[in-house]
Amino acid sequence: MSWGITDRIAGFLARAARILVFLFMVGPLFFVLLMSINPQVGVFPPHAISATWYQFLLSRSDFRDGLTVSLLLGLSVTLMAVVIGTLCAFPLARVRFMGRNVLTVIFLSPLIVPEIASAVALLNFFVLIGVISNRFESLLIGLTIIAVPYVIRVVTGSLVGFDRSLEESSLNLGASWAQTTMKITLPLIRPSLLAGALFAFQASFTNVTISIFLSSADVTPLPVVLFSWMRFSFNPSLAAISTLLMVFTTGLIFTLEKLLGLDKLVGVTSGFSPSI
Amino acid sequence: METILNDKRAGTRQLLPLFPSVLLIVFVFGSALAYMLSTAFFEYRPPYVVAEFTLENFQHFFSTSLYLGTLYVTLRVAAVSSLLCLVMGYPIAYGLARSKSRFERSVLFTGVLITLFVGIIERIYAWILLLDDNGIINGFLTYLGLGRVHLMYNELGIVIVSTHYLLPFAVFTLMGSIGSVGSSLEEMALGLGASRIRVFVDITLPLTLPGIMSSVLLTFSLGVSAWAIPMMMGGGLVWMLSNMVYDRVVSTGNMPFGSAIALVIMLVSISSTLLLTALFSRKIKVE
Repeated sequence: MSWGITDRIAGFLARAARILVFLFMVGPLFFVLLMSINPQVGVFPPHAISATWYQFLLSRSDFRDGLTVSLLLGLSVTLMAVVIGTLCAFPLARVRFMGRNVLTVIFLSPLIVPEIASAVALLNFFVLIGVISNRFESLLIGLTIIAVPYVIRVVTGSLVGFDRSLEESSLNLGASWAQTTMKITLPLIRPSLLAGALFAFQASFTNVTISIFLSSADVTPLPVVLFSWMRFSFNPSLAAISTLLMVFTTGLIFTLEKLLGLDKLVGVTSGFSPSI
Repeated sequence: METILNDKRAGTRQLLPLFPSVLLIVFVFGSALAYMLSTAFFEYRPPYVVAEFTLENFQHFFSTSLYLGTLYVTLRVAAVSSLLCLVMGYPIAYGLARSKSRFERSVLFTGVLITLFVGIIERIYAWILLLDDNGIINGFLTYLGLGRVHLMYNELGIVIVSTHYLLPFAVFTLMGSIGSVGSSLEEMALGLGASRIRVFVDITLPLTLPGIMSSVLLTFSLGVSAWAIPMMMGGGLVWMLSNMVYDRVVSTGNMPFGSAIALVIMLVSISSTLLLTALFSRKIKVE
């Protein structure tokens, strides 16, 4: 196959497009990193390097409070989502029953309903039933609803391709059902459980929309604090915390890739819709 | 043991683990959505919400130019962003599906995953640094002796950041489609002497049309419900429907009208998803 001149130009253009789009995707994020170590606001490129904004960040009490709330919330949501999601993944993957497909769609619906609608609906409902006065609990329920579908997706996926002969042998050898689950089944799907937990944590820890609707002045998760910095005072320590969050995200991606493998990760993430 | 492993008929005991998720998602989330649906038909007599059936909220929405205009802006921003995602996502998806270099694929993949996972705060902050009137791009333009350009606090800014947010979804959808077409047909046509461009236009493009439609519909359905992006990039000058919801609910406490707008957003977004499902019967399923 010899390449004609037009083909060469087309090939070159396709490659150029790929590079440009790649730069569009990750390029802007590098400027955040640069700005976070730039002591002079509005000076670009930076003339000096310093950790000023990182120190400033730590000195803010609203940041420390927000981080505490978000970590507590994120860990509680993760725990609840993993337990609830894993429990429900077993019947979904292993038992044939009427309405299973419909129920699956319903369980994944928090990812399909626009988040602004979920946020308004939950606020409205929590006011109605009186839960709203407990802000932490409201946030916990709201964010768990968003996080559970990820765990269901990941864990059901690993159970569908599960070789059940090991479980059978264990039961044949006299182990109880509980022993088999704890010693055989759960350890075998551990990578998926961990991946589900990471998804759940990420979904709650970075959630903006639902967090803003359900939070109050006393209970303010980190994304809400940062969002109000961005809206009302363009605080340069935003660059510092953004950099830290991006480092966390990158670590998360590599861990997920290790746990699930690339193909499966893409399969799961195509249904991932973080808040906008 | 027999009943646990081999009996696939549903016993109540086997379905018991579904209970917590049914409680959380069917009961709590379902009730919340149902209650929002009914609230959209309630009356608002400031400062009270009165549970009396009325169509007033929807009539008001569809007869006021402010809201119709906002609906139009919302549809336009989502449509432009999803088309941009298609145009920009295709080369990346093609590279991911076809590139022979493992290195290139893993670099592209990492880029797409980072773009997908990066939080909304970091994303918006990064773009403000670039697009602001005193931002990096305008600083560079001034340095070159060119004038400043308004890149944010308008629809352009919202479109740019929405495209950045939606791009990974387009890439994954297109990649699946290009991958499933396989490269053998293309290679055959090349072997028979067709040019690269003809192979792309006559074979790859038509065969990936379902993927193209899916990509546009998916990104559109996600794009119409954007809230934080238009709030920051529109800077109060350009509004999308979600921003109206927040304003009505939080500033004035008009839950019925806020619910009505949220329902309109849901309707647009979900009908786009349903169209997608109907067109390609690509059921939403677990793996």
